[in-house]
Amino acid sequence: MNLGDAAIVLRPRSLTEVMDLAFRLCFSLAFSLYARLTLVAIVPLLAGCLALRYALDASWLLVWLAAFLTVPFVEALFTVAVSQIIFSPSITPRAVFALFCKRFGALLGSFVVRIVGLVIGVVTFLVLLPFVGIRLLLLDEACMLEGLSGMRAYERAQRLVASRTGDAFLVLLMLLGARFGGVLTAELLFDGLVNDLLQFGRPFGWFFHDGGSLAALAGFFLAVPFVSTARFLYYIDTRTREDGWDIQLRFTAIRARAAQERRRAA
Amino acid sequence: MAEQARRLQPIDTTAEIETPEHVRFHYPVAGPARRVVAWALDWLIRGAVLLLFAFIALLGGLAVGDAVSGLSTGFLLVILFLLEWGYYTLWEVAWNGRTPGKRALDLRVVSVHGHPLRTGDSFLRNLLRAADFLPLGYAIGLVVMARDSRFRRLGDMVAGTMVIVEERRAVASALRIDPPPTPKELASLPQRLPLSGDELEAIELFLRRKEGLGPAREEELAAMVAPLFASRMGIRNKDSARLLALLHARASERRRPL
Repeated sequence: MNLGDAAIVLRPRSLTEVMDLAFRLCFSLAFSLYARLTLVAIVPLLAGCLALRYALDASWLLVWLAAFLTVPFVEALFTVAVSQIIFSPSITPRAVFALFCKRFGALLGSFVVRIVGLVIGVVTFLVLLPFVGIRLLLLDEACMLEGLSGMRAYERAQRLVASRTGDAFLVLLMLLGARFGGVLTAELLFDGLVNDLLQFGRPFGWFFHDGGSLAALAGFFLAVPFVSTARFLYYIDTRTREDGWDIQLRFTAIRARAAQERRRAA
Repeated sequence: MAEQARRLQPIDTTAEIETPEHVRFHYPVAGPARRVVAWALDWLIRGAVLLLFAFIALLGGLAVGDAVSGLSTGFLLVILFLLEWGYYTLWEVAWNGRTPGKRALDLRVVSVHGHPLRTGDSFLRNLLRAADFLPLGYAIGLVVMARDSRFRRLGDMVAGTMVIVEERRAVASALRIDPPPTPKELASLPQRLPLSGDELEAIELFLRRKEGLGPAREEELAAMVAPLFASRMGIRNKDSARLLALLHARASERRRPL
């Protein structure tokens, strides 16, 4: 990883700046790759969830459960994608999938850790859920990008947020808000178009009445690229602060200038 | 080629403005995260004002009777219209590009050249708020904002404005070196340091952040430039981080007013 090749300016940022940058990245540099990954990863998953609902007549509760269980894998895929976009010159969906597959075993391990964490949170009547959520916030980054597995990934994720627990909690809330915002926006836009404008009624259900709908599910999955990008940029911010990446870049530039002057003098 | 261009200009959330004298300023621009919160605050204020007038209309209705019920509704609709179309322009003109929500979030609307907002521009950017809102929830505005390097929505683009973040910057406290430099250590350094402004800035950045880096990383970073500076000045470099601290102390000493 060459910090000098980073596609974003590396400097400590406020949380709102992290979110703004994620927003910009999703719609500019990452847009093309994200669109292709959405077609090959999110659309089939969405189709699977809808098949569960309409072909197998499963309840919306079961469909949402399936979505919640599969979404960490899609998020991990997009985490790999955004890291490639920022630090590597060549980016193809094939390369992203290859890296994802390479770490799939470790991802399964971290998935188990995540489930155990969630169970602990639920068993304690949600009291411990925020604490567990904070500790698991950067699990994907520790697992997919730093090459750690299972408990070592968990310990690393915990260390990454240890010095900024308050910020990590805010990021957790913002990402939760982004997911919920995705569901709400998709539902209202779809309903506005199909029900209010075209007067077709609500053929695919109404989230606020049935507990789920095609649009709400699509919104939930379509929020994944933004969530992964924002979380990755928070990770980058943490590393920039802890490892002084911005200082390293400035020192590297000083050394490069000095070397150039020496060459010129010689 | 496009790949190279992308690498040359990394993405950031700042806008560069160049004056006719070729002086460049960097403004942090406000993206959706801050602007949504500012909008929500303004929305709450507008809601509270509308409720207040609704209460007044209700009291008027109760006092006079059914005869004025149509008048009360009309009165409220006029208030709603004024709030919807006049609130932002009024505040932005009165407060030089700020509304209460923007003020709370340290945001200010300025022209793309960094000049103060003019009344006509404010009117135009707020007139096009309706277009940005379509189909609902500022969907078009958000998409346009995300594609623009200065996070401008349609209204901003047409009016030639942008929203910047006015950071509250306190004067940086003087750096304390622990342990303080001894006269012997300072005597080993040249009186006039052969360091550029950029280099001194980088050293200061390192010293201000070194507490959060951890000892190993601190030493690793310091070792990147300390030997270079030492050889340039012809001095010995025993402890890289300490040498950088001493260089900063000497530079500050020279900058201190008599």
